[in-house]
Amino acid sequence: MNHHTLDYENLTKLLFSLEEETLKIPDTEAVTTLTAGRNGVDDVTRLISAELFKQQDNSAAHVAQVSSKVRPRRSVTTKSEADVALLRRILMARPELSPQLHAVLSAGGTPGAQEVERLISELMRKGMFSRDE
Amino acid sequence: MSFIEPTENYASAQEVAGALVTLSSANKARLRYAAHLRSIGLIGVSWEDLLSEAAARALSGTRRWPKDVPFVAFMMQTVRSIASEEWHRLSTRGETLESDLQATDDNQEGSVLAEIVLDTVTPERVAQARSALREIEGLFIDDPDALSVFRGLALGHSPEETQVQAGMSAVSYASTQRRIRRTLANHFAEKR
Repeated sequence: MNHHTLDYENLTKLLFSLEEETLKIPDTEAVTTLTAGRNGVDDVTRLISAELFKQQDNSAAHVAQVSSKVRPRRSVTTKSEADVALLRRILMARPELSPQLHAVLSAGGTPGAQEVERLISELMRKGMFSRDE
Repeated sequence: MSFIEPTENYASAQEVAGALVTLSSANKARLRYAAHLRSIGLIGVSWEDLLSEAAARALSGTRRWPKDVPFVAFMMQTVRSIASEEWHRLSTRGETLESDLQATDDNQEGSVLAEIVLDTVTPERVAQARSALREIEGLFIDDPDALSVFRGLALGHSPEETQVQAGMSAVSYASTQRRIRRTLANHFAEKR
């Protein structure tokens, strides 16, 4: 093969084709051929298990962290309440941003969490709303 | 509070974990092989690094699995994407840091099945690619049929085109493909 005619694009095509072939061969051939007599399945299992284990650790830590954050303390305004209060101020000035939510708030009601979330996200995308963690 | 995108088309972390746990032996073999292939030419990044990172991104949601794509194909694409990033780093900076493998957000809408766009082909990348190709070709220096198949694949030819140009039958082409897979797999096993 002429090395000078091949470049990165050729390598990409070659590797992609070799990969795609592996998806087309029968499972039995994949196990016997691609692992080449070594236990290639076990080392993949080990890698994946390690990642799953790490993920579980992260999840546990994350849950603990989130739990400590969201546990409301009396006399302290929760983040959600603060969001609604801020939205109320914004919507009083700009009711056209969400007439429905404005109506709910004007009537003294409490909007649903999803509605609040949706509007805040929209406002953040428009650069009209930001929040420090 | 964060914006919650519609997730009905994407698997949850639990579903990804379930798919990883229940991967068949054949699909594990395919993933291992694909990760080995994509590690060719990379410096300081092993096939295990690529596969671990792919699993980590899938589990963390950094890379989301569209439910209509077979999981093994999604994982192979993720490995390919990570390897592509590494090629880019190597050619633009000449080094790879472990920290560079962390927290790359390629979760933009529409990019899940798309290759990361790395359209700048520098002389360094070309040189790396040639080196990687030489590594592969070196395994088949005494196998003209295998080299013909490689040339065809690298140039994007169909099997039929390669068969005509190399004077191979469909049977010998298929046999050569199997021989290539076996030889590469043996090579990868020896590199461990």
